Amino acid sequence: MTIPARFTEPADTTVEAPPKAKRKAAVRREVGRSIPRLESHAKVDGSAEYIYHLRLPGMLQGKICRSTVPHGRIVRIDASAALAIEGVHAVITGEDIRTLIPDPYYGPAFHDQPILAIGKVRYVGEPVAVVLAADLHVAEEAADQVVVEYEPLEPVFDEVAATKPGAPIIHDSLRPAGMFPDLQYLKGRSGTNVALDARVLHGDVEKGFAEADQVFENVFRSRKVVHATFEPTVSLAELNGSNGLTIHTSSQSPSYVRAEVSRLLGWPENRVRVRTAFLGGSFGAKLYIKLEALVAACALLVRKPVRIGLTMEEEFYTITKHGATVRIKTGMAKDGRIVAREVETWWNGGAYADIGPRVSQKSGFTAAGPYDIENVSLINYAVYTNDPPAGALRGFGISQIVWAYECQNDIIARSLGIDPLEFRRRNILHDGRPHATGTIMTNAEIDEVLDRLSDRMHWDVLFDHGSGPVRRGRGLAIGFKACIAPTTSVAVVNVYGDGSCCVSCSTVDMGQGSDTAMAQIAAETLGISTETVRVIHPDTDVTPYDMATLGSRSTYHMGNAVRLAAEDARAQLLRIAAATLQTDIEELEYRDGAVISRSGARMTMRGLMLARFGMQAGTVIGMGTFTPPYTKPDPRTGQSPQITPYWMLAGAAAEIEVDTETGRIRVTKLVNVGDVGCAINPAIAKRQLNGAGTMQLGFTLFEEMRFNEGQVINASLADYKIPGMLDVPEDLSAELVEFPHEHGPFGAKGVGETGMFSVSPAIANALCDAIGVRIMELPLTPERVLRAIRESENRPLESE
Amino acid sequence: MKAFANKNATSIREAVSLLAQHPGKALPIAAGSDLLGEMKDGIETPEVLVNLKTIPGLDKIRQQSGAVSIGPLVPVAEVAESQLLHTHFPAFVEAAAVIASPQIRNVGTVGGNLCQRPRCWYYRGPFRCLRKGGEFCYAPMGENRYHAILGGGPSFIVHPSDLAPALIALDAKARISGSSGDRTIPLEQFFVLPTVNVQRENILRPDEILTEILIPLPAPGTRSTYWKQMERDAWDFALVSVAAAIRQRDGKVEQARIVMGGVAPIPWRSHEAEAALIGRPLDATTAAQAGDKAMEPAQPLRDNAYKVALSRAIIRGALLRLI
Repeated sequence: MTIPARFTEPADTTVEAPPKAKRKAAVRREVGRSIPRLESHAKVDGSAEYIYHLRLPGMLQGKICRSTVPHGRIVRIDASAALAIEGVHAVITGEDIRTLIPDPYYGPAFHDQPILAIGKVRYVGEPVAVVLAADLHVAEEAADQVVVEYEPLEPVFDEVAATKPGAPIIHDSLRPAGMFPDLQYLKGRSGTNVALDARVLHGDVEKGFAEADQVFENVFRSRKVVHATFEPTVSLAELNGSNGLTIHTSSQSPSYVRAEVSRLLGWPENRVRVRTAFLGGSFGAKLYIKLEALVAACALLVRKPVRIGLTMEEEFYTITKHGATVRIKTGMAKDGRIVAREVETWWNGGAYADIGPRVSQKSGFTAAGPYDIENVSLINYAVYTNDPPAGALRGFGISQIVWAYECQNDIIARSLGIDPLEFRRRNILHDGRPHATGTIMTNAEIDEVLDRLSDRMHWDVLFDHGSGPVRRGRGLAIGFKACIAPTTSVAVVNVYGDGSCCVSCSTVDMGQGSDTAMAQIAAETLGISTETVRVIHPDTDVTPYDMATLGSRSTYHMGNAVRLAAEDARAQLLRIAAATLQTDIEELEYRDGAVISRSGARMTMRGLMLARFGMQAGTVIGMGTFTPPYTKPDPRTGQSPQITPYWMLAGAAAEIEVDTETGRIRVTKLVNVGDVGCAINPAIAKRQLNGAGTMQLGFTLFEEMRFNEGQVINASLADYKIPGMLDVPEDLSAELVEFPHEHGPFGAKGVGETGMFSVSPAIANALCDAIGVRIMELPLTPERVLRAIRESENRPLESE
Repeated sequence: MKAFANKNATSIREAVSLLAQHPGKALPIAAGSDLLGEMKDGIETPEVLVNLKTIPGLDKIRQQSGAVSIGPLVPVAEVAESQLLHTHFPAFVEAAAVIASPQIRNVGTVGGNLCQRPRCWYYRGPFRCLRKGGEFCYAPMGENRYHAILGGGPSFIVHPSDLAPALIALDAKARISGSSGDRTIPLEQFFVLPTVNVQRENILRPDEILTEILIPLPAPGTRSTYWKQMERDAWDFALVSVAAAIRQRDGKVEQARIVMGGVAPIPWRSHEAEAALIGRPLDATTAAQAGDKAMEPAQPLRDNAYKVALSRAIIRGALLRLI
């Protein structure tokens, strides 16, 4: 494990300027520059690589035949009609997979998900068989002809109902995966749908309620939504030599895929090569194993390359965001201080755990909010249901939790007659104070986030709520997330004979701009221009291990690894020069492909190579490994002195118009403020905030998976409504709070998810400000708004 | 999608005869923005597609004496941008302008919009519903927030067309051509309730196609408008829409046609709302009364009562635009 060197240089913005002499050394040329993304041209001219477009010679296409029942035993699979269709190469079932992989169950938390259903199905849309054909249309036609007979079992869909005694049990027994250190506490279980109940106990919550002047209790819900990435999930597998396998996949976690596919096959990891390209969005949909194990097994069974690319509809059957029911109870003192908070959350994880237990535990321990509360009790249930599996979606459960506590905080503030902004100020968890997990808050600029929101919203200026049918309102919310821990990133920086360099890392550029950020960090460290750095895309034969591109961890973790690798390469070059020039290494600086000494001596790359290799060619390889410290929480109390490497603080504020006759909300202004430590690329960081804000706007106003007995009924982009350009608020803005994090690369923290956290409650709070109506379930559709208005007027819609 | 044969028709006569040659197995296609989606979803599995786009002359807007003729292949975008149509038929142009997205408006046709199939998620999804020859309609017991509040039963779909309510409010006529000849009918009679045909939304026989829309020039003093209420602002079908065409004389409503979209299995003409206006001045009171009257026969399902409130509001709102 490498402990990061303390970052000592000042950032170039927002912090006080250092004395001039020091400042010169710290002038940044690359970090902090809003350079356009390195791949922009390639994306516009169509030359950027996406796996969805990849075709391999002799390839077969697979079409998945999916379960039509939410819970049932497979009585019979009859593929004869499908096999009779001309052009069908094979029909693969779970039993066929077993001939290759005797125990074909995978998953990052539990080994609960079969590559293809075996004996039983647990949700509508679960893969039961795969038809392989050279022609995708033939495969599609044949997939319809695979006859599967089921003996239906009673299903359960509601996450609270699934925990009650007598609920149908979805998995007979559960086997923990044991791969990730933060999930080591998962236990084998049977006879329950609760995969995990994670607790955080801080102070004495019962005593807190007893002493409180007033207690508030509410239940908030959010429905399942999907990632709706524009490049659907796709994987291809091909044999590699006599005993190897190459998987090309739209994955956020190539290193994990290599490890998990190797484990399934019983192979050493070096026989499995996993490579990715640009991803057309991911947002958590393309993590862990999705199609990779299936294409790997198919390719090995038929000894031909196999591709499976999902349709947009199939995305809805593959992975979703957790629906959640959050019961939140808060004890208040007369002076507007929160004295006790109890949050109980049921996470609807669907039929397979995927990463749900981590979502439940990691988001769950922040469920009291970024507030200083003496007595806290947090309980999180990761629950199996017969819905499609739920996993990570940009924020890892945080937005479901913030939805609850920030709506309730507004309810309380209004009830106590305290301005919502002031209410939050009074209760903020300041640096130096313990969070409910016992970890002391550091580098968490929540005060500043609130100040910026207040400024941007002109919060102290009287607000015109309008008159007539269209009313106006404004609202704000804050939220936070603890970055995932412990995780490791490894990077290699390769400096070639001409001074140009490549960064090899397994961070996946899925639209967030990581290639550019990593190039900027390497360029800054090596004193070269970002545009000349090339970032090699993940290929597990080439690029070193990375935990995954998720949870806003790449800039901090991989950024540090790249910085360390570049420093390592630079140090090697300086050592070569120091030996040649017979001078002290401190006298030397590496910049623009040459070493310059204080005395004015200069060694070009050519000279360095000659000195090292005896000719003008060679390579200098720097390596960096970064694993921030972490202490496992006590499983009974959730207490840990070091639960996270950094906190991501965020706030959003909205102005809305609501038509009280149609129930339609229009967000006219949306401000998203994120505490990013230091922006490696401010323009990209702001776009991350605005992009996330717009995505969450969709989850707030429009998006909701609808089900009929477990069958998704709006699995298309016509019926499942993501926001369009016209739905983007006219006044949409993002603001970066930049106080360098002491261990971040150049002070940076993650930002990919930050803009999601607070948008929904900010809008719901604005709705309440506009018309006094409180809605506790997302999304805020015209139907729900009208219904709530009519209920508040004691004229329920049902009287129509 | 199942494999199919494409036949380019060069005349109306050829198109209808091709359709007649493959009874039950051929479908006409124009832009295909709806039909191709249905084929991909396996809802329609034609063996033959008769391409209408290759028939010359069906994509013209022509002014005639007393009427404007709209070819069924006129792209929706052309309607939305037509100055001629805007002068005479604001409701038609306004309806065209809020259909789907720019791409779909550019390729989608007027005829295709009128003939599009329901958006009901049971119809579009893997359910063998009444409209697809199944035993029952899933909506009454299922997720029915978008379904019919008027004219429902035994199927509860809503008609998705934006142009249809506007054109009916403007008293348009439709010419239909088939292998046994042509007929011209009021567009209002083009659409059929599920009690008449539970599997189709209009009277077209399998060998018939829509070949012309005729909109009479409105009498002086006529004003019209279209209001579409959507969940989001781009590419959305109507939760509820209303087209209203009103002629006033001497401060009183002389003629009124009010047609709603998104509320019934057909574009729903509200004679009740019209009656509430005739002979009275158009003002806030009568506009609200028209909305109330229109909703008197409404029979919402479990989740769609909000559409009743919404309908009242937008009928009133649309009428107030015409004062």
